[in-house]
Amino acid sequence: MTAQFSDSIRIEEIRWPLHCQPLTDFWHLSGTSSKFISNCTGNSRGYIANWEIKQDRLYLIGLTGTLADQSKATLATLFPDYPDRVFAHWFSGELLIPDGELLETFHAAYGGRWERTWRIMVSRGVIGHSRYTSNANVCGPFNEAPEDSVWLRLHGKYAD
Amino acid sequence: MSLKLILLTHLAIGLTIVVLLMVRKLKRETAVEPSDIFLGKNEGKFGERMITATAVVFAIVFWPVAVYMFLVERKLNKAEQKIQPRAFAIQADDLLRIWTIEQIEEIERVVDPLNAAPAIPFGHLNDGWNRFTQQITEGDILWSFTTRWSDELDAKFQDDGYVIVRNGAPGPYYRTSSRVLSCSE
Repeated sequence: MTAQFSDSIRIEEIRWPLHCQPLTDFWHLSGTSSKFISNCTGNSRGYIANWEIKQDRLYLIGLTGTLADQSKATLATLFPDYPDRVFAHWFSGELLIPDGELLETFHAAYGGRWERTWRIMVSRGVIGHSRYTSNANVCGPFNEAPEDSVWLRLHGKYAD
Repeated sequence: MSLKLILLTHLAIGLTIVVLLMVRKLKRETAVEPSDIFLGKNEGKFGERMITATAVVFAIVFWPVAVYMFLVERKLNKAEQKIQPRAFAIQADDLLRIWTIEQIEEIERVVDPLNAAPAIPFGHLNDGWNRFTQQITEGDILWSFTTRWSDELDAKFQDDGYVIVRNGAPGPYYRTSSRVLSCSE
């Protein structure tokens, strides 16, 4: 298994890696499936999304990926009428942002375990409270709930 | 015992309980580094801090209510952890209330100040909603639902949405949100 490239999220002009995939819920709730294909073991979902928190809302502001016909996709491919910014009202859950010192590296999940996780609660695209949880006492890539459940969705029940 | 002594004892107990609860909360979450505050990462808005301060004062004065709420929350958390594993299926107990299509479309109209979503029912997910409503036939009743379930790997989820109840039984459904409650053990 190969560590995956993460999405990114911009918060107050600072770009952070994002260790979850809010776009997965879009396909899940819309009853459609991702049209992206993987062309790299480090990107099994076939796309990289860029997000932004602005005015307490979650927005999708960029998307790059490869479609089944090998053509390149952008945000306009998925949302033709909103090529620059999409309000992610479909997403409810936690945004997971690694923070602090890298404690451990491994060839799975997002490639490592960081000192703590910054968790930002989102409800229908609107930002709620946030908190930090420590990862000092967990081991491996699948003990940081609910991030590993994202993997369950990607590789398990909701896999395309 | 004088009234003053009773009042002081009451406030002392309240203060002790609030301190214990706050220490318990802090132990469960990591400490905030000074740099985090500078970057504003964990700094609540002024309104949130005012609410927290008000809640602390309330808890000190009305600590029996605070203790009751703490015990109820603990009981609910324990109940949540004991969700019996079951596959996704909307059951009678999951139904919340009856709606009309018009009512749903009114409250589910997406409004975004940056106009980054269509101002229509369910915004970017409107197509799925239209496909769902096309399945409604005469005699069907539209209910909202919330259901908890777990998958084969024992990850637990909560899904909310609307379901067509036909001849007394839940039928086609439309999910409005799906949240992860906990990952697999």
